Amino acid sequence: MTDADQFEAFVLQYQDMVFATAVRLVGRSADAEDISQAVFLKAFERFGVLSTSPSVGGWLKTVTTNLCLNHLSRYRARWRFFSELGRGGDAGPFPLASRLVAGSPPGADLEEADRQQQLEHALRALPDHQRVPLVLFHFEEESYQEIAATLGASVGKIKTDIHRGRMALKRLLSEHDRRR
Amino acid sequence: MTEDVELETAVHDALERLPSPRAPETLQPRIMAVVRGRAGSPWYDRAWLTWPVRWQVASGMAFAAALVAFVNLLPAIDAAAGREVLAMAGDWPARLSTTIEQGSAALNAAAVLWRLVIQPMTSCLIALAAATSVTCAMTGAVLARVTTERMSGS
Repeated sequence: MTDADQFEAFVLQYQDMVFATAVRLVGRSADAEDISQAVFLKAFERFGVLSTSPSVGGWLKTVTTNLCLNHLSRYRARWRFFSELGRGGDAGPFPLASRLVAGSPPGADLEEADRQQQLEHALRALPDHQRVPLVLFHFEEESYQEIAATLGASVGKIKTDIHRGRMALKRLLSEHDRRR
Repeated sequence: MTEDVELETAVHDALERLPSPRAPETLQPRIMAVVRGRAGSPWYDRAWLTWPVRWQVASGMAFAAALVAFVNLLPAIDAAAGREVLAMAGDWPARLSTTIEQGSAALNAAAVLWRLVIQPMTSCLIALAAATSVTCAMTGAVLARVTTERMSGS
């Protein structure tokens, strides 16, 4: 088995984890795919060490998180002024929430799948300053202090942003449950 | 506080039940296309970190040796360069005077050009540049928002 074949197996093993981390942090599939590629190309440069390392999963997540934050910093610097004018910190109902189909087909599985899809979209549609700490807290299981250190913000701001993100998601969940 | 804990728990439970997004089918092929392209190139054409260890060590030692040699030879280089500069600048007072006169004439010409041509147009150019920048930025923000809303709806 050549190095490239071994690396291909490595990619297949970890691509879902890397992509899931990236897409939830940056909120856009196309950007997440670009970042995932960059992560694996970095991994390829160190494949000789990583292929036998027990902590390769942690290394991949750390690199993915760092590349996502770098990407968001660049994106935020470009559109910060107008995007912050355009949407407030306490976002109103998401466009998707208002498009919940009143006549959804019956079946708990379909309803649950629809609910999950709405929640996933809502999560990605959160403003960056709410979504990123929320994802780091709930999916990467980082503490408030760790998130504050990673993002260079105060613990108070992180808690506030996460709380507002949770409120926005809770509103969506409540609205969905009311329509059932 | 209890409400916050309930909110955290409710959201955490809901997020935990979310299925993990799957990587698109295009990801692995595009990664491997780059990897196989790199694998086909000679080792010295790739990033230094991917070089065989013995060549990393050899190149590091060569660089260190070159640095040490340069530092040791620096006084001799400096002395040789100094002799060369002195030979070139034999009549430096006359050259310096000519250079100053030429520079002064160029500055005067530039000042006249600024006063007669550029200064009157400056305020118009600044206003035009500002209006163009604002228009482009707003157009970009609107497009970004439309794209985001479409993606949220897709």
